[in-house]
Amino acid sequence: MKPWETRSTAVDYKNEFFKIMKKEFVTGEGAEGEWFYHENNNAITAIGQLDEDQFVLIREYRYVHDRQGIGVIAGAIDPGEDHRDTAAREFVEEAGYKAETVIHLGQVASVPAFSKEVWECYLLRDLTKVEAVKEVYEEIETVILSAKEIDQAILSGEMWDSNAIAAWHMVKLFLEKEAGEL
Amino acid sequence: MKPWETLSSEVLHKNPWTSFHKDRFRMPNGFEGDYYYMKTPAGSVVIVPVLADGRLVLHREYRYLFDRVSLEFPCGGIKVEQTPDVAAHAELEEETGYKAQVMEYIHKIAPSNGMFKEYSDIYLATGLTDGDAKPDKTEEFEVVLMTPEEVDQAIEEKEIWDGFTIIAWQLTRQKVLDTINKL
Repeated sequence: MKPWETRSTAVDYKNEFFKIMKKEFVTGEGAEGEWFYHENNNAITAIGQLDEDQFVLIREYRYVHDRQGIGVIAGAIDPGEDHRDTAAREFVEEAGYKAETVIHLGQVASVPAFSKEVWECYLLRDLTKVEAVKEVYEEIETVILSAKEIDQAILSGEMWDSNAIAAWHMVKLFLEKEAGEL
Repeated sequence: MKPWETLSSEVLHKNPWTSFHKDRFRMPNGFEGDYYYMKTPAGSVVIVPVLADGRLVLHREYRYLFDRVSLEFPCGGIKVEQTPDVAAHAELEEETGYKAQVMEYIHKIAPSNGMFKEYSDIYLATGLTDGDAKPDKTEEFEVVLMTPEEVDQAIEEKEIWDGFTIIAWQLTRQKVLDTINKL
């Protein structure tokens, strides 16, 4: 598979949150075309583990779909910020827990055809309750669920966001591996 | 949690594949703001194809935006005139060459639901017969057959980093393993 050649890159639209970019390309086989995509800061997802079978997630309202659901703590990485620090910061701000242990599980491109955004997935442990500092537009409730309850929430459609489901899959793979190593 | 009110809505940009929108909203607490999001015309499908011997059909694809090869299950947009089921059959054949006798609907998820207004339907394809892939001019696929253990390992080793593939596997993994155990 040969890399494609980029002939031009231009900003088609931008605001304070993201840019819409346009690239003109030539594929490795010589086909030409235009590719439009979304570019913004990368982001994190974070799931907290209180004990062996108690996980910290959230219930949130998603305006774009006019629908509630179970999700995970998520947020944009500030320019220059280490994404490990973003995970710890967002967990304090949105969930109200300070974490002593912050474990990086991997990264996921949620919509790689249309967006360059990458989500860094974290598991947070050794949690201490602190006061959450939510933005006025963040309508979030913290929920504590068992692994079985999270799986059930996915199957029932109560947990329906791709980033949340991918984050939980990363956590499950990590826990399975960790259990196998004990 | 009460729904938010949409005060106005405008299209900022539109191309053949996606559109970008700006809504002015009001929350139940009275806070007003602007919300930006992306939309596709009719959503997408992801297909987890399973051969009779329990191996899974994936493909390697060059992802231009990341200048990186990605190992993925077949996936693609639903055309406006297609049903999700028809799109799933078409994408499987275009990207891998396999045809499915059975295309079982598994679940519906929303990719990145904070910024993307789309639903994606996930299917499990069985009763597969091999044929020739039919990629379009900007698609180049290399079909890869993998065991479930190899898929797990590829996620862990970050060879699989596409969100659609990880989620489709999360939602079908146990069903595939149960089927293999009965072979």
